[in-house]
Order: sequence, then C-alpha cells, then structure tokens
Amino acid sequence: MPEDHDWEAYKVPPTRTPVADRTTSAPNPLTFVQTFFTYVIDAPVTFVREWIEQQQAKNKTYYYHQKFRRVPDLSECLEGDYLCFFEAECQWRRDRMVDQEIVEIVRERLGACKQREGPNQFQNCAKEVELLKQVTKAYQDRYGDLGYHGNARTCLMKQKHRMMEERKAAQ
Amino acid sequence: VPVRHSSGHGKRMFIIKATKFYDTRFLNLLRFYIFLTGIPAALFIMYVNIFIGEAELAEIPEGYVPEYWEYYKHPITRWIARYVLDPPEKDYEKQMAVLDMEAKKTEIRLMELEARRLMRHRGDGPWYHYETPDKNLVDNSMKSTPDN
Repeated sequence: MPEDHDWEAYKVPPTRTPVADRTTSAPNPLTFVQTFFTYVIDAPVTFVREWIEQQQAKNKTYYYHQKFRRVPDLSECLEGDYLCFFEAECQWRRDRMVDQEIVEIVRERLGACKQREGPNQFQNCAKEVELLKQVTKAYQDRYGDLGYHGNARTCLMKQKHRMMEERKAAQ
Repeated sequence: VPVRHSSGHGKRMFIIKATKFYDTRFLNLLRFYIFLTGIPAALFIMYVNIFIGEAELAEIPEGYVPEYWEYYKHPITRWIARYVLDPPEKDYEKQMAVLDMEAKKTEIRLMELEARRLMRHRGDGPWYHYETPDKNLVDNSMKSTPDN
C-alpha cells in the first residue's frame, strides 16, 4: 500500500466539523454502519496487511536515490573530445529530468493549494501562482523550444543566443 | 398434430446453427497455453511480493557506497540488475569505448585523406607513382634523321 504523502508539505488547515447536538433520543444509524464496516471489511484487511508486513520484515531491504558525480560541462570540453561530449550530454539529460520533476512538483503544489482553499483560491494561492510562473518561465527559457532532438549542444547554443540578446538589450 | 410452440414443451426440433467447434477449440487452446506459464509466473510473483517485499527508500548512510543493484525497488528488478545485466558503470565504459574507437577511426580516416591529397598535390610521397618505361629504352631511330 503506498504511503501517505507528507502532510507537512501541503499544510491542510484543521477541519472544523461541528460538535453534534442530538435533538432526538433515537440512536444514530451511522454507528451501526461504522461498526459493520469495521468488523466486516476493516479488521480482516488490516489483519492480512499486518501479517504480510510481518513476513516482509524478516528480510528487509533498502533502496537509495543514486547520486551522480558532476563531470565537466559541455562548455568545458575541448573540441573533438567525444568522450567529454558524451559525459556532458548524459549529465545534461539528467539535469533536464530533474528540472522537469521540479516543475511538476511546483504544479502539484498549486493544484493542492487550489483544492484546499476552494472558493478563496484566487487570493490565497498567490505565492504558489507566482512561483509556478517563475519556474515555468525559467524552464521555457532554458529547455523551451529545443524540440525532440534537443541535446546539450543545442541548449548551449540557445544559452549563447540568450546572452547575446541580453547584451544587445543592455546597450 | 404436435406443433412447434413450446407450451407444454412441444415437438423436438433439430436446430441448425453454424459450428462452434473451431471457436471453442481455439479458446480452449488459448486458455491452456496462456495458463501453462501464466499461473506459475503469477504464483511466483505473488510469492515474491508477499514474502520478500519491496525495498524501502532510505537515505544513503554515511561512508557507505551502495551496490549498483541497490538502487531499484522491486526484488525481481534487483535480482535482474544484480545477476543478469552488467553494472551501469561497465555499461557506461562500454559506450565510451565504442565512442573512443569510432573517434580514433574518424581521425585516422581524415588523416589518410589529407595525406592522399598532399601526396597527389606535391608528388613527393610514395603514393600516386605511376610506372613509366625507362628513358634508355626509347627508340629514337625514326626521329634521328629528318628525311625519314
């Protein structure tokens, strides 16, 4: 069963369910439904799940996120040094995947904020909106129109053109 | 005269339909051959998932370098990465070795073309020599007297 996400990341405000004030002396039928659910579905499922967890706890294994060493960039490679090109290309692809995940996370944060706030999302989510705008603009600037065959070399050329534009605009 | 209407279950009819023999035979054979390996595979995967279980994500401990197969979650992928496939470092080095060989080959081919061009142009190399007959073998007797 997948674990719950980090509740601290998308801070959910405390739920404000009102205290029930009984106006009748008849028992609440929902208690019967709840007990039925607990005994028929919840307890067996939890029992099976815990039994499986016990079996799995005997041989516990861990997996880690791989950390890659930084290698010289494409701009630090000599011309004709194809091995350096290959390593820089691999590193650029990994960095691009990381940036895509970053954009995805910021987008999810905005979605969570909208879901949480409900009707007052336009006022209260301004920070997330601003962050997403900045992040997507930065991603578009760096990796934007490279196309399917974009590689580290085309990205470097795009950066060179951007710097040239900035220099021209600064004059 | 007993009639066809089935009130009181009337006359028995021999209803002529298209054959379902080939269809049922095909579906039976399909089910048989799929389940022949499908059921053992499903049982094996259920055993692995229940009794061995997936790995948990953890921070890399201090001073510990994980093996290359410890970067995967499911135990079967870990097993394949450990015993069947090459470590990714070796794979990387293999790719770089191919690139290196190809780069050296292109370099040598370019140098060969350059050498050929220069030898053809300057004519001082061992290539582009065409054998011509010796000067002393030429018979000048027909040109030695002007009135021949």
